[in-house]
Amino acid sequence: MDATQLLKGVLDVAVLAVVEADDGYGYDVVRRLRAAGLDDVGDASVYGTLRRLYSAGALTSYVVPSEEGPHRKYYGITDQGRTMLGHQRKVWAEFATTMTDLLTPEAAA
Amino acid sequence: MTTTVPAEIASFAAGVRAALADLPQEEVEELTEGLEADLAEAFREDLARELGDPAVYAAELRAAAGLPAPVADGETRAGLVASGIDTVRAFGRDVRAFVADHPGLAKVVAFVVSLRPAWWLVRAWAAWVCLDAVVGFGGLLLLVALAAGSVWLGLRTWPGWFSGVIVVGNVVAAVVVLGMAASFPASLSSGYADESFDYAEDLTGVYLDGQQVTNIFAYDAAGQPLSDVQLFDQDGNPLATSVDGGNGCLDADCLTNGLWLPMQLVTGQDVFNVFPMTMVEARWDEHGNLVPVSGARPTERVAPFLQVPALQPPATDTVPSP
Repeated sequence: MDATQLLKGVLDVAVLAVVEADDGYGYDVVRRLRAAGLDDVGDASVYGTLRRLYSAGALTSYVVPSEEGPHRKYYGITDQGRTMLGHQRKVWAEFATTMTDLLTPEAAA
Repeated sequence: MTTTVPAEIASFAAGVRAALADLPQEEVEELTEGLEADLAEAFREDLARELGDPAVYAAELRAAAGLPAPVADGETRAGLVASGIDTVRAFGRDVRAFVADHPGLAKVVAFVVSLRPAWWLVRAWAAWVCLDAVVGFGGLLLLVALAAGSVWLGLRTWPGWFSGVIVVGNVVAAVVVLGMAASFPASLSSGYADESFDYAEDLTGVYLDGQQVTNIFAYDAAGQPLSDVQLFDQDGNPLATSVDGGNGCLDADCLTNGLWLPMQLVTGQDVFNVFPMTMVEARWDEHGNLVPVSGARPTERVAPFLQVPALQPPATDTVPSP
């Protein structure tokens, strides 16, 4: 089993959680995800996910000029995004418990 | 590669945008806004990184954004053009193979090809006509120069892209020549252009306010109908409303066709200027000709008036009153 395959299913909730903690631009979100331990996360995947969550209304965005050239596009979470995140936290907690129970030998015994 | 310069990042970002080019422009902008800044920062932090394939990067971006996969190459606009050119080339190959298999056809093609110099002159003329019409700049010297240039173009072998330009020029020239050819007969026959495509019998006739006169009814001074009146115009031409084979409606509802019947002069000549004309019932034969129904009697045409008001008799005094 490949962690990148697992990551695909949970990238939305991971990105939402990171942005909820603090607004961030594309690479900033990637850096924080990696710092949290998701080493294999692809930056293009994160940028695409940010865009999709923005289209779905879970994120808002604003452009910040930078001194060193290209503008940065920051993302922040919306109320709709928080609702989505709350729901997915519950789904994840239940799913994680189920999988842990299933995969832990003592629990299965 | 352990370091990157902004130029490489810019070209990578351009590659990513190109790979997303099938998406709406707005979507591409939204997806890749800030891409250069993100990439530059990533490379500053992680010097071991390498720029990968922008197409792979774009595919990842697209998939994560939940956007449709790119359409197959053959369906993109550039792909369509390329496959269109391929189709034309394949058709050209098929035609050449077909001609090669048919010696008679090959001779015809060889003859047509031998006419190319004539075409070079024709297209020079077309260019001259265009120049004359667009910039009002014509002249025999220019025509000669264009002809020389056209022959020069025709004699040389040109690289692929330029021969494409020549093909386009030839098509334009052909359109001009065809356009000139189409307008030529019309300008010759402009006097009766409206009827130029109608049947021959319609070219001859008498018109009143644009409507064809099919019969003429004469009345004498007393207002009584006349028959067998020969009419001529001011130049002595027979005032004929029909010609041999001229036809019309036999009855008011036009259920039956009729042929106009000529009268015969003592000279033996059939004439169509004797009025009122009579008509004979006709039918279409197996050759598509309108022929008189055998045994049908000439029918008198119904006069519009049984009689008309008589003329005022001439005044008895010959000198008009002042």
